Amino acid sequence: MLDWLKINKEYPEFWKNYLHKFEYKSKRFVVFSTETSGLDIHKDVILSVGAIGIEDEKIIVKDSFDITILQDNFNPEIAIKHGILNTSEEKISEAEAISLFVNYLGNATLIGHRINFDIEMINQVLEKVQAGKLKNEALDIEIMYQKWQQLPEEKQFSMDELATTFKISKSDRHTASGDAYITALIFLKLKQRLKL
Amino acid sequence: MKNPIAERIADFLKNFPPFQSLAYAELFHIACEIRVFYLEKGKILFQIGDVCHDSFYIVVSGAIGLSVTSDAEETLIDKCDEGDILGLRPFFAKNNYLMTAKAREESIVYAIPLKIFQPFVTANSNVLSFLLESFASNTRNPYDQEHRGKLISENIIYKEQQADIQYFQSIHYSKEPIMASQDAIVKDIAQMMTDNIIGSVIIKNGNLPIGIVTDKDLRSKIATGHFPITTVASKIMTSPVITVPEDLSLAEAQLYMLKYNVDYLCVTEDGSDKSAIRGIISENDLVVAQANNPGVIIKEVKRAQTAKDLKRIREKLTELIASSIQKDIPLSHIMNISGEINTAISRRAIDLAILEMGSPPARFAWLSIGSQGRKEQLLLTDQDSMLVFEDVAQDKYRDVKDYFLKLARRATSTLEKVGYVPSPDGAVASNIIWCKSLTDWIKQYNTWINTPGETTDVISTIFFDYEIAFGESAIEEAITEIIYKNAKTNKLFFDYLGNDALKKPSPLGFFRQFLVEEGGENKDTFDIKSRALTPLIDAGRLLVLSQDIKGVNSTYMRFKQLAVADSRNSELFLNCAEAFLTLSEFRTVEGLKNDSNGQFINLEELSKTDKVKLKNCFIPIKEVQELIKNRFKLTYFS
Repeated sequence: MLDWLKINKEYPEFWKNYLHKFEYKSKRFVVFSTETSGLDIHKDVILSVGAIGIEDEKIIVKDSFDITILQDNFNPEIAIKHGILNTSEEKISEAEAISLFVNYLGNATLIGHRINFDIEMINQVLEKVQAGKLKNEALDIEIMYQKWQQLPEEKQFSMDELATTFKISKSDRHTASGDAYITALIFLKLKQRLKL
Repeated sequence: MKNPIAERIADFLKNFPPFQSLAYAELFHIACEIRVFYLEKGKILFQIGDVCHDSFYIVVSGAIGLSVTSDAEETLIDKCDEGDILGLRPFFAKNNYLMTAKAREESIVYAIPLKIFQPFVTANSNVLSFLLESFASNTRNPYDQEHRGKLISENIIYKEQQADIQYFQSIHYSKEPIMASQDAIVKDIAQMMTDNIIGSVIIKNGNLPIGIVTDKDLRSKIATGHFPITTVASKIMTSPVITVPEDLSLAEAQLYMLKYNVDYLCVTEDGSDKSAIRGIISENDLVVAQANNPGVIIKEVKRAQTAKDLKRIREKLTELIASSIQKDIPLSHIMNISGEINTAISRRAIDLAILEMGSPPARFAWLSIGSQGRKEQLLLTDQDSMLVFEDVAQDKYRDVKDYFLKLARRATSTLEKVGYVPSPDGAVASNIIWCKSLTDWIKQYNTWINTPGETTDVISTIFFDYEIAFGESAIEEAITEIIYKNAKTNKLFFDYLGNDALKKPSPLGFFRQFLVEEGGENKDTFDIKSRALTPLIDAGRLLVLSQDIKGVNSTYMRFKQLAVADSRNSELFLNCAEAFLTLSEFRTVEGLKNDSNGQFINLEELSKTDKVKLKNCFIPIKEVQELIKNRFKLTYFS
């Protein structure tokens, strides 16, 4: 709303590229999920991001994104739950990760489970690097499910519940990419049912 | 960047051939290129005639049915589930898909791009030979142990297998027929035919076929001088033109041509002359005909001179049935073909009798009843028949009846020599009570329907499954009319039929074990006829009668029709139709193996999967019996 105020603000390069992409409408969806150290938008941090692209009703395996972020205030307890061990894998800095991720997203429509939280977490990081907020349209599978079932919004459905309802194996739960993939399958199923 | 999703997919692939023979890194490389599809139940992955996709597919979850379309009916050839590969056709052939792949339940499939996989095929001989084998293997029968676990492909090899199997293949015919309007000048039509080197032109009105001008018409109507060469098409065309649905099989096309004595069939959208023209099938298209196919067998039947000739031909039919079953040709097709041939044999037996005795003194109809009336006779089982002659003056009645009794005796004895044992209940036309005038038959049906069970016993139900074998079809129609007119809202009649249908012995005992015969020569065998087939046949008959569905005789088609007419129970009826085919196949296989009527199945010879398959057929039987119980309020009796 107040974007015009920022018109002269100097954004990082990756962000300018990102904004350019919105000149066209996208047919691509990106399903993504973040693993965070907790649920507090201000205190907690993103530990990893996993995402996968969908085009023309198909999950494009190649169009995937998986990154683990180096965090200083790393909490091993959560990491064990999420299968992220500090010693494993190559990690990259938050700043580098966010530019890679925004570049990957482009103008795609975002899909997730309780996606507002994930978007808010990303926006927090974007703020740190002097960029704006994500502009992508977003769809939430929980809301889609409520719509399809014509249930009131207060009735909540966890990822596990949705996966069970749609008979999707939960073996990949609790990694960001695994969650993204399961969410993608649920999304495809809901999309056809809702005739979107 | 790593790709955990691709890793998971590679993990999945490595469990199944031909991926087993690839290294993990290779699988990961393939997995990265995969696209994941979700298919709702009923969604089509690819369809017959579609241009080949740039990928082949592997089923991750759910089930994809592969089907061919023939005689305007979709026939399931195979079901692919987890780990099965489909859509291999583009690897080996450039032409379009020959089958339709449709999700039987909601499914997830991986699409693997051919471009990515091709190098592995050429580099790895295991992969190549596996794919070739899958591509070349015949379809597997879902309850055939020999082929279990083998991959199949949707390119079913009708072409390579030659001979009889190709008669179930769709025909290639001209999809762009030459057409002319009814006002076209004959001379121009002849020129058109000459230019295009064709033997016929369809005459159309708008989009609809109204007739056909063939070489024969030009010869017999123009060349003879009956009509001037300047006359218009509508004056000399043969009208109406025989129309058939798309995707007709070779065998069916041949039967149509023989039946209507024509050389051309006009293909229309829905098979009637009230829908758009889609093509033309000429006899030339069928010239590929080879020996030992249904068309030739029927021709041979027509030429047979003695019972011995017919017997030899019936043996050929048995061979045809056996080889068709072995090749997994859909049983409903086999039943159609075998029904036609059986009818032709009956017809020829009557023909021969008339040739000996001289022409009949009155018009008549010979109806095959029971299993032959339902066109379900695959094995050489009983012959059941009835004869109806038109009403004649009182003083002639005796002579006329005498003639027909003699005729029936000759014909049934010929058929007996062929191998059809006369019905043990005496339900044959040579029986004095089943050979009578139309009025007498109408009285007979009235008695059966209005006072069921009073004067006759159970055998009367077989008289409700009839198919004309010889004579006046108007007589058959008269009987159909009288049955449906009387049966309508006749509660007593349906009560009787319903109870009759329900009192058949149950197939399973309290502990879900098979109930086998307790004594006699068939001790410890399972009576598939009385315990499984008859209940379905009875249910089908009762339900079509009560729903006023006319002209559908076979149990399979009856249930198919019922599924359309009664959408609430359509799933149950479709299950019944399938169960009926499966059970019939069990019976036929048993009968062919032991040269018996297949009524008693030796359970010990069945594999475990076969037993499960058999038991699964009992579920719809039980359900349809419940439905009958409720619909006709029969709980009081049973």
